Amino acid sequence: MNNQKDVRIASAVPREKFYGKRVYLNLDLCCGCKSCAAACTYGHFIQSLLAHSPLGKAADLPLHCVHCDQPACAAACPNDAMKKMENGLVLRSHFKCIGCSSCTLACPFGVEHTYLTRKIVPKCDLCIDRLAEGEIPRCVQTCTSGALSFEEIDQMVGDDKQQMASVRMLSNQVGRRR
Amino acid sequence: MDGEQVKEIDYDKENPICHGSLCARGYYNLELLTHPQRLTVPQIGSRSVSWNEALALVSSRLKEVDPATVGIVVSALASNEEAYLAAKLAKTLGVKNISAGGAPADLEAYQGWRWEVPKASFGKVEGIDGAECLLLVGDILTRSPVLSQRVNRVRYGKRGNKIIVLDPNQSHTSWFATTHLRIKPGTEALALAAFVKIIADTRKVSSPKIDLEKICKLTGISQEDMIKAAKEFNAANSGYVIYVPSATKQRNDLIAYLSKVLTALSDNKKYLSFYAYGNNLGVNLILDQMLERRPDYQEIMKKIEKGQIKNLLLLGENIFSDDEMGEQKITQVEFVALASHFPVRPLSPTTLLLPLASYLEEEGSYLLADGRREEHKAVVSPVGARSSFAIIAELLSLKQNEERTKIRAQVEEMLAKGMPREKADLPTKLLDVADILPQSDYPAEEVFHFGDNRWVKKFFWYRVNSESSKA
Repeated sequence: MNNQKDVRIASAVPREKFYGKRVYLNLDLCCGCKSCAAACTYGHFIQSLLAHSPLGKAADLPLHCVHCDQPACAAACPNDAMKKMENGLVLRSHFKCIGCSSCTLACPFGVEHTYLTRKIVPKCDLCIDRLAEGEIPRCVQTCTSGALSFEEIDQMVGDDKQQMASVRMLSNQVGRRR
Repeated sequence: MDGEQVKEIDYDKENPICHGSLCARGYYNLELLTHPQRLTVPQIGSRSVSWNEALALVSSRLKEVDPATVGIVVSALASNEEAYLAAKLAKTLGVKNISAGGAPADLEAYQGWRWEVPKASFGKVEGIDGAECLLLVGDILTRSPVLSQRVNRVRYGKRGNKIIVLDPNQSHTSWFATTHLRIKPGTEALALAAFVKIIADTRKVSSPKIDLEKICKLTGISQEDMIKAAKEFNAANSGYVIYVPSATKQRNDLIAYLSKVLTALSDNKKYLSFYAYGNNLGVNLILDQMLERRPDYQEIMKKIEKGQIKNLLLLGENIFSDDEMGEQKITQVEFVALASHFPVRPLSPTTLLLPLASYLEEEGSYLLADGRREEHKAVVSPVGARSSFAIIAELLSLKQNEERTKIRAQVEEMLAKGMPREKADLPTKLLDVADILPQSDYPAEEVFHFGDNRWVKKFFWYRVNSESSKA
């Protein structure tokens, strides 16, 4: 059942389209309710693609993949499962992933995690099935506090950009798994 | 939708309350439909029986025995129509022991809402957006995370906006507080009485006789902080008191009553409450209007303990969530028919389990916390399970489709009448407040992770999933 869905998604994404928007987290607004994790889980056939990490004792933050321009996970992948696509997203090939967790170690933001039982690395796909239909990702849609937003990377200015940088730093320190 | 199978949840962006956001527990409805542990066939102990056999057993049993030994409990998660039919069933059988189930704290708070306070006004969820000051009693964001959008709007909307949180715990709600009064566990009513006293003094209305110094000592908050917080609340141009009943609080009825008194004392303030049990207001209101005198849940539990109730019909989801003692008491009853989604406790070899249809599989109307009515329709047809409505209709041998429109009209009439009011007197209620002492059984907690929260863990979905994973 999962595989069928994957094939459908791959064919539904128009190759010529470029997705420049990314998910941002406003630390001031997040109430830690984890509805983004639930939305992700139920949207992806009970496989949560979204990692959460406790920020010390203060909060439990979602760690979103930033879909880097030069992804370290893709460079580290021994089986070419991670790839930077033409549409701007870094996607994982479901069949190629062998669960070696090289990308988990390579990721500078610590947003990749490994399923120890299933031997795969779940990877945020920005809900491309919804993007293709002109919708926003599930986690952003379901966010109860308005902390998550889906915005063009160029539109972030001033404070927002700095805040984003601080989130990256935090996720680098706290979120790194191994 | 693919034929009869629900594939995914879509978001209702035009909903005025949530604007398309959904809390983690909302996804439970999707999981429930195809949950591997779900009941699809009626069972007695571990033996499966047919629906006809099961319903015949229930109806013959209820008709044969003395009505005084029969008890009916309707879950506060049931719809208005189901509550109406349950009351009708009790009337035709001559059963007097009928009550709404659910968290005892919620039921207690309902009593408090009934006590009349002139000039107090009931707020709407949308109104929170424009408020300048929120007084949050308890951990509201754990119970209703969807509210956090609005809390954030007040928090960051305008300079000088205040969020005062009265909670012994360091919680998700207190994270957003501008003033967190970390009172001793169980002293919420005392703190609110202090607020009433301080605001009455500043407004120079007849001051209630209450010892502020003693209250401050009991709550563990310094007198300065208490006065400062109360004055902040009073000075705001508009505000809301939002209150969540819970078992850690003492005298939920007094807290509900005092938050109403506060809104009546201060200008342009409104009150609102969120219940753990969605339709707590609706079910109680309908039972109150249908039946002249009914025992409350605690009285029924006492009767079960004494052995006066020998036959029990439990309708609806998760009746004993906060009441673990209740679960044990049920095992003493001779005959229990329980409509449920899962084969959960209380279970004994003679319990008759009736598979219950989920919200996505039945239609009904609900009365929400702010007095708004919400109706929903069935998305899929239930596989094997039946709604409480269908079960009672069968017991009363009614034709469901014909009766539904009639019942809906009657329910609407009842809801329009509103909650029955009872006269209450502030000085006598304040005497009750003065008796409250801090609770030592509930230590104050520091909750940072949602899943570690005691109240989240008690939710049905978490319980079922953790129980099934243990097995």
